[in-house]
Amino acid sequence: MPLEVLAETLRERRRTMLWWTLGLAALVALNVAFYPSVRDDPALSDYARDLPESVRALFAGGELDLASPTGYLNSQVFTLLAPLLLVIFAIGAGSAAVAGEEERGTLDLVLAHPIRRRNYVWQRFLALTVLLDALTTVLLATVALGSLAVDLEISFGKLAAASLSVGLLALLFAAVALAAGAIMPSRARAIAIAAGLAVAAWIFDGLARSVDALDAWRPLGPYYHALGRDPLREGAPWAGWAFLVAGTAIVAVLAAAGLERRDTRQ
Amino acid sequence: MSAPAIETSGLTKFYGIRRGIEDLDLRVERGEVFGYLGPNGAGKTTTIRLLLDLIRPTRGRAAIAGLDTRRDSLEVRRLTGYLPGELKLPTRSTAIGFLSYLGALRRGVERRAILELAERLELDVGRRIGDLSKGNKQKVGVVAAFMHNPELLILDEPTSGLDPLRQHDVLELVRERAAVGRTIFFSSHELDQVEHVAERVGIVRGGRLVAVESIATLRQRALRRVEVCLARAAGNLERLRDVPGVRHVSWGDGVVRLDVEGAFDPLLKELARLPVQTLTSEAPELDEVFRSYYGGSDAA
Repeated sequence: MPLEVLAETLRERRRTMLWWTLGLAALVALNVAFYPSVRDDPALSDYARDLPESVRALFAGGELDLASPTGYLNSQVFTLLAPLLLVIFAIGAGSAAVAGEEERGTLDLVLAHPIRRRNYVWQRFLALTVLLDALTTVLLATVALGSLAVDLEISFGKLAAASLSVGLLALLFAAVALAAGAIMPSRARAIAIAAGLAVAAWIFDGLARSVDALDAWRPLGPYYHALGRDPLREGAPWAGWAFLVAGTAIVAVLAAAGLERRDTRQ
Repeated sequence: MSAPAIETSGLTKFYGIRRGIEDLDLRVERGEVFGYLGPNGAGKTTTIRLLLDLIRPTRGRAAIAGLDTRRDSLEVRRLTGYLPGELKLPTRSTAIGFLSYLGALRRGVERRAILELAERLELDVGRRIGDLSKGNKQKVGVVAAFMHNPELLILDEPTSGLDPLRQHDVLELVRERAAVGRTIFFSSHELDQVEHVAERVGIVRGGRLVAVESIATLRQRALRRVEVCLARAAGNLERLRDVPGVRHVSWGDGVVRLDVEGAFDPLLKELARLPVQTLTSEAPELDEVFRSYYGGSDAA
């Protein structure tokens, strides 16, 4: 199947991608590089340990064991910095894919060409997958090199599992932003919906972790499936990934159907 | 393959309660150059976007070359070239980059075809689209519409934003394609853009098709404003009122203003006895064409 839209999207995005690659790598590397000084400063770990349970649950993936390599990486990178950056990128790129094009008025001309709208959306989605793939690889490479440099002694497989979890989480929100923009012609609204859902799901997961009554409901949110089972310690959370992939696929189908049936704006 | 190039029946589009176009019955034959004329907001762009399946009709249907514009939209778009009225292009791509992309979506558009057209229009395809002037951007759109030599060209205000020289180039392209049997459907709000290339004209107003006429008929009925400067004060100008075709006359400061319908001949014969210094005649404004059609009533 010819993939012109995919190729064009990657061409359009290559400069943005360069900056995201550099920024992500720099921030993650900086975080990892601070590990030795945090480990060697007991005051910081004590401080973290003394925080109220609820605060720890919400703000550090339930984990503030800053002295151990996995605890440090989990709290600083895999439950905080990496998902934050990748989800921001995902929502930006996902909302640009259809709603952004439409708002700039360039969608009209392209859709007047012989390409089915669902094919167009599908290729846009594939492009998002490729872009997030690339950033996930950057994340993994940086963490892996960084952990070699400061001797974290975490297996590459587990680093890869945690990175992929973050990547799949971001892809879900990319699909949500894409679908929101495909169903309704407004980029601002697509961003608001996807970002609102991402924040709501994040708060829900934090609350569910600290409130016993909600604990049983945790699997309803995507964060649990991506990071709740601690891939950095336990390895690949296959069931969680399957949940995220299935959810993303459903949202992508909604995106294609949404654009297929409505009027496009000039 | 005897189906007309464009055929619509009862084609209607409402945006909420706002009327885009209503009960449009239009037939454009193959090989015809058809001008679609109307003031801004009359429903021209709505019609065009319905034909390309960018928006969906509230009711009614349309067919291009016998193909339903909804069901067979992909095939319709394959054999159509389209220039949007409000052309927006990605600013960061180069002209050639973007045109190649559109060509790839169509399959089998040769790079040579793009370059030849660009050269004719004097478009520098190596430049970033964002750096191009408005007229040059419009040329990118023209190349995109023409590059695959389509059966049907749908051009929404194709000459807007172009200087007169380039307008001429575009109309020349239209004539060329018409000469080899292509169908051209183009919209404009200016009669003079249409009258030199189109054979027939459809006039839309307020979402309704109010007339389909040959250009010759339209020209006859069009009201033209004529200004005559006299070299010196002349005697009796009252006689001008009785000249056939003259609808309105006023004068002052040695200038006579007249509205003339149809042929100029009777007026010129009458003017021959006056000391005429200069005579100018403006192309009729569309509104005046309407007025001449509907006796100034807005009921259309």
